[in-house]
Amino acid sequence: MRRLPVYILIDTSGSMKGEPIESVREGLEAMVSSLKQDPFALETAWISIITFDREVKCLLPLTALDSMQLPAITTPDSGPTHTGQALQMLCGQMDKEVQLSTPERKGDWMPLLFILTDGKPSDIQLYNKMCSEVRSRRFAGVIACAAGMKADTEPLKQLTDRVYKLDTLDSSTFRKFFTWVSNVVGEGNRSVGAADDLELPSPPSEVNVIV
Amino acid sequence: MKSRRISRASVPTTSQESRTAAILHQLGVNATPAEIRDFELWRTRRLWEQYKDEKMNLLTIAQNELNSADIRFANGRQGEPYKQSARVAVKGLRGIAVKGLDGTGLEASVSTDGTVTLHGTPVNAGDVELTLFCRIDGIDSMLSRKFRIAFNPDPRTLWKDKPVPADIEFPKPDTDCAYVLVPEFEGRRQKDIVAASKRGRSHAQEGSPRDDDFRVSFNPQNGWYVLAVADGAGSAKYSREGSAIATREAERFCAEGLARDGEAFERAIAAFAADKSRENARPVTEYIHNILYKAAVQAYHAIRSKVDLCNGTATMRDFSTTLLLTVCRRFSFGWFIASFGVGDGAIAIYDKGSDAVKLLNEPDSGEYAGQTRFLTMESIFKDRTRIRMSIVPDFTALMLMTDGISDPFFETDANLERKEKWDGLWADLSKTVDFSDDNENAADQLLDWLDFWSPGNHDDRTIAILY
Repeated sequence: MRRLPVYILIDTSGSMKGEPIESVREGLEAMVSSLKQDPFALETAWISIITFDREVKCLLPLTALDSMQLPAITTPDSGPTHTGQALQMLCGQMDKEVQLSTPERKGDWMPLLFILTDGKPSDIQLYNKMCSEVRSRRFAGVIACAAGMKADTEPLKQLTDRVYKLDTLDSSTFRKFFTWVSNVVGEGNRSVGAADDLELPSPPSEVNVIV
Repeated sequence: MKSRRISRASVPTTSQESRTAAILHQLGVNATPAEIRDFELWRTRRLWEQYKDEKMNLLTIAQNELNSADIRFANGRQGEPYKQSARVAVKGLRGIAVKGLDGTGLEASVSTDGTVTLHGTPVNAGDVELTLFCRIDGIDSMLSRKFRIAFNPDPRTLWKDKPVPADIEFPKPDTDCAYVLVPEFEGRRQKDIVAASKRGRSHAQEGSPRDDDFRVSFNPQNGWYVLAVADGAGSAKYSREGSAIATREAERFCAEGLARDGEAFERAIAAFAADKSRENARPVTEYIHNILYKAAVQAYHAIRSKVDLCNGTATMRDFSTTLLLTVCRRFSFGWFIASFGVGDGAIAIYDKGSDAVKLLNEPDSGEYAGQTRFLTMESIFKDRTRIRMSIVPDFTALMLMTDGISDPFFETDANLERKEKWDGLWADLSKTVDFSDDNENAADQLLDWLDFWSPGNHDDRTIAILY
């Protein structure tokens, strides 16, 4: 069975504590239930969640959508945002989890990566290094989202050409964002072949495209 | 906190107070009854608070242990029997109970060792949130932990069959099938062609059109069969037209070439069949090149012309399509088959009685699923030999199929080489399709067969069979 690996990286630094992270969680829940209405996603999507603050944690290793249960997400009170380290963990997880085609084994679909942050990387050197590492890998799409007014979109542009911005950190915005994410995942399931790069469905008005 | 109304009498009123007065007296302390009463109150209150604190701590510890205990109930599926057990391995817990299952079709039972079993058949699709309650000794307060279990719908029930908008460019019917009945040629019994193509569920879900296509023919003047199938890339906007042009043009070019050069080609094949020397092979490969390879080039150019007509609104990539093409003819010495292939899918000569299957294409695949090469890429005409030929005494079926069929049945390129996998495919086909000679119903039967279920495989499906 061919899987569509979907990696979701979430900033859990202190500034996300409270309502923002609760909203993210609600958004993720909405995403999962919306994906479960898509028969193709239900059969093929595999999800992984990595959180990053001072510490980087793989909260959910790559798990089939139909068997996944959303883990609890915690945030420290304050501290740095180790985005670079998160990308490093992502690459490590991908090496372990994503299946490439061999004559004897069927490869996965090209993975999707979503990264959501409300600040900027504290480990800038590692971040820069990991950006080129991520860019050298093949993804069907890398979608970076800067959440809130304090989020810096500049570093994200280094990671991908697809940078989006959410102005507010409330639950309705996140819900819309993650519904859009589930549409992208649905699209990833269908657009296969000629285009290496996924054509994204247009985002809701709350999600601003950064050029 | 419990309080007791203390009597205002001046003598100790409780045995506790009398005992305390006696002990104090031994210690040389003479306290008044009021002092002793007050002391008792003070002592009880202190101890009670300490006791409550300790119990509270125990409760918190137990709650934390319960929260972090590895208790998991896997997700299930709506309408399918579900049974999951988990042991609540926290010391001192008792009175375990589960709430929140009303109306879900599930029940919980708890065994004496603290194992909770959920069983039943979930009625609805969706999440069930259940709460596990328990107590620890000596405390009235309840401990609890919530669990969320997802009961997923059967994916088969979720597929929609959305019609394609009527006004799209390059429309194409959702299904197509054909039967080419060939009675006999040059006094020899001939095989028939059956072919079918169907829009995949993933396309039906979106209301997008079928991107696959096929073309098959037999020329009663010269005895040549031509079979072509093509898979338009799902992500390319006009790939349905790409596959239509590819199969139509390639088939037409081959049929014309065989009508023109057929006799000379047949002589070359006969000479090669009699003596398979390198010199005899050369003219055969040249003809294959001039007919099949050039048919593919012709198809490429036909797509190019279409792109030019689009006046900059489309590129070659928008018409991305694979192409599997074969020509085939019966001779006195057996069957000659030649092929050209670009992209994924499979061309194979399957003979039930022999121990191997002959593959007539080498699928183009990348490191990830769905990565392949297309007729619309100029480089495919140079990168490797894409033509193959074979002479066999006879065969059960010559099959050309898009990856909508080869993926679910073979999964990997290595499996395409395995005869038993082909036996499996043929057995499955034969359950629905009656492959007796001249059975024109086979076309509709083959179309029905294309509805088979295979998790994660819902692409367009196209197959052409010469049998």
